[in-house]
Amino acid sequence: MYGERLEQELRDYFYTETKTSEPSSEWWDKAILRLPEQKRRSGWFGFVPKTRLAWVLLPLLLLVAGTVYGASTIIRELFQRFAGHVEKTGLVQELDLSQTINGVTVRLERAYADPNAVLLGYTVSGPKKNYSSYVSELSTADGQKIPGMLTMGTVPGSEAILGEWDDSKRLAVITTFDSSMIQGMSSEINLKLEIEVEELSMFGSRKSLVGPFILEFSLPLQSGKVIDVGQTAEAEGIPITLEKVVISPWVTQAVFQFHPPYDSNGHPVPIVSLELPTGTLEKSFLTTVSGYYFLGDFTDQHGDCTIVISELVFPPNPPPDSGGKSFKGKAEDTKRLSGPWVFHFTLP
Amino acid sequence: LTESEEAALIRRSQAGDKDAFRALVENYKKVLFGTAYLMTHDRSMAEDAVQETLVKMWKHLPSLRQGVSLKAWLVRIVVNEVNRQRRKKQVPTVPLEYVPEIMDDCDALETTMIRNEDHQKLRRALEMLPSEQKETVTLRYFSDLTVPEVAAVMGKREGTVKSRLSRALDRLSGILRSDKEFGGRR
Repeated sequence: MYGERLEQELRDYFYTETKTSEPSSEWWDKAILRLPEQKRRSGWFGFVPKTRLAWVLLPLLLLVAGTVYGASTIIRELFQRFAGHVEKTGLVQELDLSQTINGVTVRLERAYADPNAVLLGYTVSGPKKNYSSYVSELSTADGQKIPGMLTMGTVPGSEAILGEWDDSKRLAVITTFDSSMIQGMSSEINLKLEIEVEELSMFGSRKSLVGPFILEFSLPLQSGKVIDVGQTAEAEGIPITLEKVVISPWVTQAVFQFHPPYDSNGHPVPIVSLELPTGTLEKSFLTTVSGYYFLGDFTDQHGDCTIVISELVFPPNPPPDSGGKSFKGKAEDTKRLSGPWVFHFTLP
Repeated sequence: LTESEEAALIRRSQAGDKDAFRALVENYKKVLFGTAYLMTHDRSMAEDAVQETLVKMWKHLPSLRQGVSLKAWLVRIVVNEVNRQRRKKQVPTVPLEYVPEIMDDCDALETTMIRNEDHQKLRRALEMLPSEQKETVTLRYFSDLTVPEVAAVMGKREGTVKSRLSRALDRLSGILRSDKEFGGRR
């Protein structure tokens, strides 16, 4: 058969093509001699969320922590906890891009992209003990800025949770961006990451700024499905529209449109769940201004799904004289409005 | 190497034994260099990619989980390394008229000439494939990875890899069929 013969021809061709170019035994010997001694893993660092939202998520992450693989790199560990299912299926890309400025090195080690999110894992190392990093900007090659969503990082103390890792990687971070905002995506996206690093003093106050570190790279975009739902449900006289659902390997995002004004002045936080065709009930794990995210790869699911907003939570409004400062409010001032708002759609 | 011999070498390498590491590398050096070379057609760049792959292999071998295919893991590292170097160096496209030195001392001269000619046609046909199809074909038929392994290396689904392979083979067949002399002299 021509197909089998072609396959054999390809094998022959590749064999011949590479055979004459192979490096000598001496080259391999030298390559192995150049390998560094393996580092002993040590250190005592903590795992602390870098945002208020991340603090809320910390218990969830601790619950899913499971066995700690002491020999893994810290970024690999973070990916396993934060995106273990895409890690397991080999969708996370190894990048290992780095830039050093004034002795401080930012190393972008691993990354992942799908129609919902871009996940970047990087470390910061240098002569000082304490660093804090700020992603100034992630943008596409054509200049579109991609909004950040959630950042998780390590600080002194987290070794107790995450296990030991390379001592030089004192700060390790996974940061996520909303790729659904990117216009005209193809199977690969070219990105530019700008990071600034702060060297912190002993007591954690800001000391000096290093950077910006600029890293350019491209990532394959994992495929996903967009289901335009456009369905409005009403409860307690309040309409809510489920505009679309974006299903991708890392998360599934439900995009709602709310129809203010409400009696309460605040923007409601909905309590959302997703029932899959298999009957499994998923609760949202991450919330942005309009998107509600369910962790897990549901791209291979087909059939009827239901999204339910069981209630709307209205956090207390800050007093007029708060001047935009952080405001917590009292629990009893929180208002709740029971639904449910129910949306049905089908996964093709 | 048997599976148990390889597992023993991995364990020793994970403990920092460079002799065991050397033996592991010996087993995979053809596939490592060959994959890098076929992706770049540049010996020096392939050597750089393999050197970096060895460093990463040495560094990350302790984190290799049981049951993971070492070959697929290594090929994935070398493919990522080649792609990283391409991004850094902006590799020029290989011109179609590029002719490699192909001589096989074991073959009779005539056979060698025919094979050489067929291989040049195959090379030209491969160069006409989109890069992702060419890479898929290389990983499947040179690196000898299974379809799930190719999918893991490329970060694609198995279905995508299967359809890419199928499209690539169809296209190669089409190109080569249009060349009546291909294989017709055997």
